[in-house]
Amino acid sequence: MAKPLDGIRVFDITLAGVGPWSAKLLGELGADVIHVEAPGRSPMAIPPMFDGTSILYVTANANKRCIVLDLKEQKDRQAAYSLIQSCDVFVENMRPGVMERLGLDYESLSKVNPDLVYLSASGYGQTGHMVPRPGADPQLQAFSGWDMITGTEEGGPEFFRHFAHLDYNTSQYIVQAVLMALFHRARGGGGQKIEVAMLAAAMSLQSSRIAEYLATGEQPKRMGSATTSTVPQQAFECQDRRWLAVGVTDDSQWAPFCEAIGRAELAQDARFATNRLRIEHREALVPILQAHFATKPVRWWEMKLTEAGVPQGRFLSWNELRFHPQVLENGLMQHEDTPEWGHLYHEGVPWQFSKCDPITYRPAPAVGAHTDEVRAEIAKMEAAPAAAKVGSN
Amino acid sequence: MAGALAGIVVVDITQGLAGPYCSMLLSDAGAEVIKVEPPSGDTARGYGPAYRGGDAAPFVELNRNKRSVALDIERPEGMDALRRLIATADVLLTDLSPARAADLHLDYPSVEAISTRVVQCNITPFGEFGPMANQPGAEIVIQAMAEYTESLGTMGEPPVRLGTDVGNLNTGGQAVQGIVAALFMRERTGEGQLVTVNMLGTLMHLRGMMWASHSEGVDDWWGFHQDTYIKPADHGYETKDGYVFLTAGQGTLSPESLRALTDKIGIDPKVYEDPRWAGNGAGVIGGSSRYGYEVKPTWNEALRKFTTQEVIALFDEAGANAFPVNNYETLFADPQVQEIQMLQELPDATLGSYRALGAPWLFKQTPAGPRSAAPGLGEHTDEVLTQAGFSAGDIAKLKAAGAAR
Repeated sequence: MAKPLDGIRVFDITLAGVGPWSAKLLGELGADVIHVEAPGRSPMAIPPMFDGTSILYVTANANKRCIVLDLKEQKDRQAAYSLIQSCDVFVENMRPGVMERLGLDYESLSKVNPDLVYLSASGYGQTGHMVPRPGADPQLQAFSGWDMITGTEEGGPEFFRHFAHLDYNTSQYIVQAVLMALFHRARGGGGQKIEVAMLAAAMSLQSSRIAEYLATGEQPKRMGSATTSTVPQQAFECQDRRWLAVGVTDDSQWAPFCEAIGRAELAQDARFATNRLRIEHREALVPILQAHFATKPVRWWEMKLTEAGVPQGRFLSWNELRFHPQVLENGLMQHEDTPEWGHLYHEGVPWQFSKCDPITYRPAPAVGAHTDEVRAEIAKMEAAPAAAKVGSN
Repeated sequence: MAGALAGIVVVDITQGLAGPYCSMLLSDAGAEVIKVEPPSGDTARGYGPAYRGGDAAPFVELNRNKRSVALDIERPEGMDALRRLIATADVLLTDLSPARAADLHLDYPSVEAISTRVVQCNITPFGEFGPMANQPGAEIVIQAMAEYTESLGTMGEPPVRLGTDVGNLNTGGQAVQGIVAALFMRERTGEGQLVTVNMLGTLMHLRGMMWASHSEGVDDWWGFHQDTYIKPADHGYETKDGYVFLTAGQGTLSPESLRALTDKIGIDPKVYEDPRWAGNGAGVIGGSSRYGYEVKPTWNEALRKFTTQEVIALFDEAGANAFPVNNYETLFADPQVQEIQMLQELPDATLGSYRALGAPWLFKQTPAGPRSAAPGLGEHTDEVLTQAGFSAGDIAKLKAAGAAR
């Protein structure tokens, strides 16, 4: 067997980031993902663009086939029903209510296909006062509490200026839920409906910080590059004015760290003996360490801490990252010539499976590239419904 | 009705955040998780701040629903007990460097020799290969290397990280996907396999759009996700009592509505002599809009006269949207959190009860979420080992040898 989701077919009627990226991941796992676009509508004008197509579309629709269907027309809606009868998974992230209007809500589709795993993604859930409001990454950054714990104490809350993380984060939970439901179904559980809200996903991603708040009633502080839970874990400025990220995350690393930086006496200091104590005495310890890191260049500390087995790393940017041996040897960034988009850089595969064929990247199809092909398959299914699954791969 | 993963047994030897978050999610979906800790306990018990029974709050959150077995796997008797647990498991979750996995004989060939049905998932900071494969990681290191810090702070000033532990928690979530995909595959093949995920790879994967926009065919170097590192720190917009994020409704606001709004909040109409303000609101409302950063001081000056709630009402009225930059107090006070069942109460012997987050997914057929409080260290050693076939005498011997607690 080649891929975990061989033989699974996904009906992907999604927009923007959250839905498309989740179906993309299902495609990487081996599912036959059919992305549905409406006619005459350019998929999103969010810059930057490739020849007029948003990079968001290009990246979030890899590993799929794309068909154009006019779901307001009875004929195309019938084609969609026929296709959905052959599908295992249905993913949508339209505003609550849109699927009902199109006749593609769970009630209707579970009658056509009771084994369907039906996933609805939304910004804030399917009910409640936030439902009418737009919910994309920046709105959720603000609303979910994520900004308030990021930044410096004096500088105010800070947005993450890569306005996609909470979209793709939601996709991660969607993929988990779909896989769990498919597993349950494989053990005789039948299909079901699942809802994933960006708000729930963003809150779950903050589990460690929110736990601190729920336990103490106090808002976790914004600490720049440092964190509430472990000390030292932050950036230190070195003699050459470069920054090194250092994290002592386990008490067993504390003595080797002190030894490696030539300050073995700190390991004997009772104030700093455990992580809990170092948190308590953070304001005494951090200036000592910062002054000490300023006495040698970043390369020196990098070497010393590597030898000692203490977590450390540089602050990298695009050009350093794409040629970094760790990135190259683990295939974490890929680039290749594609017929649709020229020479395309893209992310690597997030999981490696020991008993699967290597996961290959299929660039996003142009809108409607597979309309004829999939329509022909639908016509075959309609002619011989029992053979609906034939041709899926 | 049972959870989607009911009947699945997970043996989890991970510590810290990534692995425990993975097994928390599996347990929320109904899996039974046996947490195997060293006799000194999961290192995350010692994070801050101290909470129930002295354990750190994040530990208590991430280890709900689990049973704890304290075993010293450095000792042969302890390792033997672990191997017997693995033989009964569906999933083995590890966070071992390749060198350490080989030392402990917990590399996949050794695990497969114990059970061909077990799905092993191994989590590393930087991947299984390459010069850093055997180095330990930390959240700040992962965020720095994956260039997340390029989209935070201000150039030339000290680096800023994301306050939450994205490297760890997103990787735990990625591990859940790999594990359940492998379990699904096992339903067909009858065989387990090894799945690996790593933190650097996870964060780089989630930043995929950034890499694509470095490709040759990109039309312009502007927009939303790309040029952000040259911008200053984005604090949203200041109000009298906090911060807000602004958007122009469904992406646009008619020039008339924009003008009505700016008149109402006291922005000098002279701004419209500036062509950046002349179009619809999409160019000037919001930090990610075309001129958002440039015209922000004008908005800030006007909005500081209103409270956050007043700004939200004013923008609603205009057909645009303002969102509060919530802290956790205002977030949990919002009824939307209850609407999606994200705040739960867990019964607990020590505290009576405590508050925990709900599960991130709402399954309509298979319930999910927290069921029981995080375990004390070794709280279930006797129970779990007895179930695995150890006699009372065997367990006493293990404890006497210091191999269990």
